[in-house]
Amino acid sequence: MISRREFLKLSGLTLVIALTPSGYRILHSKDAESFKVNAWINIKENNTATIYINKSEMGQGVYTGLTSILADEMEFPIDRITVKFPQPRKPYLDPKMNSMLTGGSTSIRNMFMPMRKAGAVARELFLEAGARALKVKKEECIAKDGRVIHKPTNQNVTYGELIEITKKLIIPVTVKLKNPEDWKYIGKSVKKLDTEEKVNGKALYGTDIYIEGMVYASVIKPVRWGSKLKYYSVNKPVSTKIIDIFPITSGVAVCGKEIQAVWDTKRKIHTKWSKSKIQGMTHEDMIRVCKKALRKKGAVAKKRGNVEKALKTGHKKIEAEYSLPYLYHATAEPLNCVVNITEKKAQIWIPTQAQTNTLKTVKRLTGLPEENIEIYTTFLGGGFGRKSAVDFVTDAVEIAQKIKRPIKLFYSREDDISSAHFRPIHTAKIEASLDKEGNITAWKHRIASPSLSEFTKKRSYKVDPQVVHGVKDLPYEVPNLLVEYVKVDLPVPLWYWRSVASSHNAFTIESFIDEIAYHAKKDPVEFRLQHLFSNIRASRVIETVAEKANWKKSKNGQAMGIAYYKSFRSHVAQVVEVSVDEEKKDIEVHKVVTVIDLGPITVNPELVKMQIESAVIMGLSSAIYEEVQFEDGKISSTNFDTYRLLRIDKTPKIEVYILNSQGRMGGVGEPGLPPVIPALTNAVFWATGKRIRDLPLIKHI
Amino acid sequence: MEIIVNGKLYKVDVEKDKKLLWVLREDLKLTGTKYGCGKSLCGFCTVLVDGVAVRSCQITVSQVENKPIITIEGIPQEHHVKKAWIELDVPQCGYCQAGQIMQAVYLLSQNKNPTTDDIISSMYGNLCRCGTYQRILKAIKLASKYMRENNDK
Repeated sequence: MISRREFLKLSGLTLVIALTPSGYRILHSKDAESFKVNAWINIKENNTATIYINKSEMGQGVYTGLTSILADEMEFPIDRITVKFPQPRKPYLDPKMNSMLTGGSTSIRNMFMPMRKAGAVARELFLEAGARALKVKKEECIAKDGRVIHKPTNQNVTYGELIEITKKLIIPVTVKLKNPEDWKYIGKSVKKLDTEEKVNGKALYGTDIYIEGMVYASVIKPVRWGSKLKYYSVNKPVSTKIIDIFPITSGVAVCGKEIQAVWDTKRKIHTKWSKSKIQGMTHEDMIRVCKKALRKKGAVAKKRGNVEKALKTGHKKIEAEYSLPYLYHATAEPLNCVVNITEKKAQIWIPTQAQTNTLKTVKRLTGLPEENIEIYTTFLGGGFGRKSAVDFVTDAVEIAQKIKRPIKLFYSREDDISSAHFRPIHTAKIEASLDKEGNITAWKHRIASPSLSEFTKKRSYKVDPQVVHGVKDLPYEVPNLLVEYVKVDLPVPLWYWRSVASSHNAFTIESFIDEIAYHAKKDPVEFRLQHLFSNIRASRVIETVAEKANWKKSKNGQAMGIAYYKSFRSHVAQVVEVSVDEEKKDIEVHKVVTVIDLGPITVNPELVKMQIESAVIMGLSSAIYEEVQFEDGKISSTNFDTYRLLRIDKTPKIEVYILNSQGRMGGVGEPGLPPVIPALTNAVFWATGKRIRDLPLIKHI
Repeated sequence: MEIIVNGKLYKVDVEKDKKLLWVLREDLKLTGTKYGCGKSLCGFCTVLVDGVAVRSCQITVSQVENKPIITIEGIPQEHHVKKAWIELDVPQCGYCQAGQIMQAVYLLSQNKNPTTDDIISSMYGNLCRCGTYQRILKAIKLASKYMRENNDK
């Protein structure tokens, strides 16, 4: 395999690769029937291939996307490829992360070149082998659809037939990447490779893994986060299906022969916990705690010019406060994994976004050497960030060690919610001043929220870089800018939730810019463009979405709202069209138009559209309905009745337009989510005159 | 106890009140039918019993003895609904899709030419966190078209 430290020289489209000795060794693998071209490709005599992808498939389509990139360069038919997930070891780690991890909308961006190179090496190798087999000049041959064809005579041979010859060859030192105009799969809407197995109920998720001797387990989590287990007692009799009940680090574990019995028995266990600082609190109380913190001066995240002076001397001053609740990921598939630990070996089958961290967790808890630990990645029934945490791995390993049997840890929906790891609660106060011409002269933005990084990075920061991300680099061109952060101490575990802080900061920034436009008596589109005059990509997505949506603020009770946000290197502008029935307290979202500028290459346009459709629905769902409720400090959202999600009846017509531009590739899975939230609430404002500054909006119409 | 799943007779050694969902998954290893909420709130576990869409997390195995049960594995890939689903590449994560497809099969067995409102009221109970609703709507209309063109079930 090609080393990460390989010598790379990109001149035009010719790529020069100097190989390490290990690459040569892999080339000469001893497998008779199949041939491992490199770590990513295994080809068989019958001209089928297995390829390995180092990113988890959780609905975002990476299974198809990465495969089509490799297949394109390899000149191999995609329908003759089987896709597998490798072990989280070198060389499968994402070179930019040095980890096997799926997150941050980076899969295609980070793996685009490695996949192309892996495919191109295979193609060159087979070309050389083909020319030898056909006893012709290599220059007269082309590779196409898994065959080497001698152009003048049309003689041809499949890659599979070339295995024996190929084994004797040395991997080419220089490989030429295909010219974009010759791409066969990249840039085309290749159909998804996992659709059939998903439609037939054959796709295997973590919950579908059954191994010999396996028992089921689940865990009672703290009634209130921030407290420790003092004691527990079991109301007898318990079901004969129950095998054991015992405390673990995170709570009380229940093991049994049937999962329903395990879940039912949890209700018969009385637990007593130490005091938590959130005892007695509701969600509203926690918002009040944050808003109180907003009164304090925060740590400075960004300072440009003199905001205080500009605010005092401005022609007009505008200010507003915003708040957003904790959000639950609500992956369709609750957290689960299957663990088998013996004295010498540990195996885990898991729907995870974080294979490397899973491996490290198993290693830490078992003390086994890494090479004796196997991590098998299944399909993920949704991830959205939640499955990049390893809290449930810790639970599962501790339980398996204690009970000394293979187990399937399987959270019920109620367990899944109670395990928290929510998107943070968030409040912000923004002040701005305008000059006489309606230009923004100052923007002061203060955030008070618990620190996400404290939970995800396990260290504390004066300014949480993840929380202020996107505000620090405010896109609107204002001469005086001050961004402050006030940390709020609340013990509820936090984690990444699709688009991370962008779902907060897009809402506050894009609501506020709309408010300023209103006060400046300017059109929201015009006003944004006026303050983005040197940002060509931002301006272009806004202008395009306005054109595609036939932008106008309102017409007969229906109204449009617009928002723009850049996240994960992609620029997105969205227009949402709504009508609001205030008597029925009902909102109808008619249409959402999205324009995304994702950089120079669209690997699969249809997959991009699907991801935007998905982000639009999740964004609308969060904006309209979603909120984790607390009573007396306990999470009182327990299932889909008390944590409401958007259903098919509220699905708008969704249109997506993709723009390309120069520069680096942008992400796709997340950037479509943040702006839809303020675009919606802005539309509600233009429809009703009611400004929604607290989410979810169902509470305010 | 004996149950008939996808035309096949199975003998299962379980308690009478075990839910059908868990008999399918734990005992028969027919894992296409998924758990999501245990309370009829998500529709992931939808199967057909006697041709009617039911939530298998709510029904006990004794209630379905001697009644034909169809799961996602029992719907052939050539079925109009599956064809439409594949044509439009509906699934994303895919976890809810068995339930969606079973509910759609039931809807079309009752109403060959459903309106958008008919589809919404039939599919309302099926959640999809990936937000594939727009494609589900289109796929049901496409399946309905295939059915009418072929003038069959």
